[in-house]
Amino acid sequence: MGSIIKRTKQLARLRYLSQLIALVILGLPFFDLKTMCGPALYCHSCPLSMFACPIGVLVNFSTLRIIPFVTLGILGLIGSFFGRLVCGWVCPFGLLQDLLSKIPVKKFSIPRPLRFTKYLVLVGLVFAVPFFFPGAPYSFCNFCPSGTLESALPRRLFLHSTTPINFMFYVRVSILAAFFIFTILVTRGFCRMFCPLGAIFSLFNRISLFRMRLAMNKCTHCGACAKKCPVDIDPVEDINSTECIRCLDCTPIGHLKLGSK
Amino acid sequence: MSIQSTDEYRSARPLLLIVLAIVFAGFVLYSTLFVKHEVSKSSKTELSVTELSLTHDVIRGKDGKLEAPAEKPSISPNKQKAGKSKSGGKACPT
Repeated sequence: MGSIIKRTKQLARLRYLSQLIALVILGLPFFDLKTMCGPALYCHSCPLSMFACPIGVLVNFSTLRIIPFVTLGILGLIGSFFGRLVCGWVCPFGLLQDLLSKIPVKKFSIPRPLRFTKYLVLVGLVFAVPFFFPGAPYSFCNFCPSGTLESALPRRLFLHSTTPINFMFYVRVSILAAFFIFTILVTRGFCRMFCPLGAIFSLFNRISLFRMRLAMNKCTHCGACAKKCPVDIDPVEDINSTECIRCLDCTPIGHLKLGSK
Repeated sequence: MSIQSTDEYRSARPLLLIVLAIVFAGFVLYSTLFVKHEVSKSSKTELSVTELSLTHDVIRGKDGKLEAPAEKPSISPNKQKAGKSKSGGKACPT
């Protein structure tokens, strides 16, 4: 038991380190690489961002009605190799959610059908609305809490934007506030219900090169791995679930590991 | 120690992965080598269009062609106007 706790702590520290390094890389403009999308949800309107947000690019290209080959290629390659590993180890918005979930309040689980909301968000707000209503302010970017946090608020607070605050600004700030409350109550709630990038990567989770492996001969069906899972999966029942963010919190128990074979 | 996969895609998975990797790498290569978009009568690569689109310096005109907006871009009327892009359009203020 002691070794499991020790390994859990080591893994948690390693994951935080990985997320922090990703935050520094994505969030500091070492190079101007905004012609390409990054691997995670990080708004390109943030004054400090280095890459374009992949969802922002998909929204913009839907508006322009052209196919974003490079973005689809990059997301497809990342998904094929890692699945949702990016959600657990790279995404800065995931890091924020991990930190918010540390607040000790009663946590709630999400009914299974609601997990499909993110696919509706992807199809509706990322592709359909910008494609069919290019002038309407109802694409995903207009509601994205990541964009509000990384761009709209900093621009308002620190860059002294002179534009009058309009109705949509209040809507966005309200969504951000709701996001904070929701994430405190539901661990990784945004990733599980609303993130369109998570929806894209989840399509690759079952077939990606790096994925979870189960050693049946080590499993005692004690349910400890299911209890540790932040996104309420039973890894023994559904080891490479589309919901799995590959945080590897279940691996210190010993019968699960990340592998490529 | 025997490591077992519990899903049903085990046999076809390596082939599928190779196909996917080729297809998606092909997307990037195809775009880099062949894709050109005409924006206000000048030819732009997809990467250039991506960069322009971030600041809404390219819009879809009424005739369906891509063009640089004359003044304020019309595709995101709710957005704020902090900062200016290279071509004078407002930075995407999401």
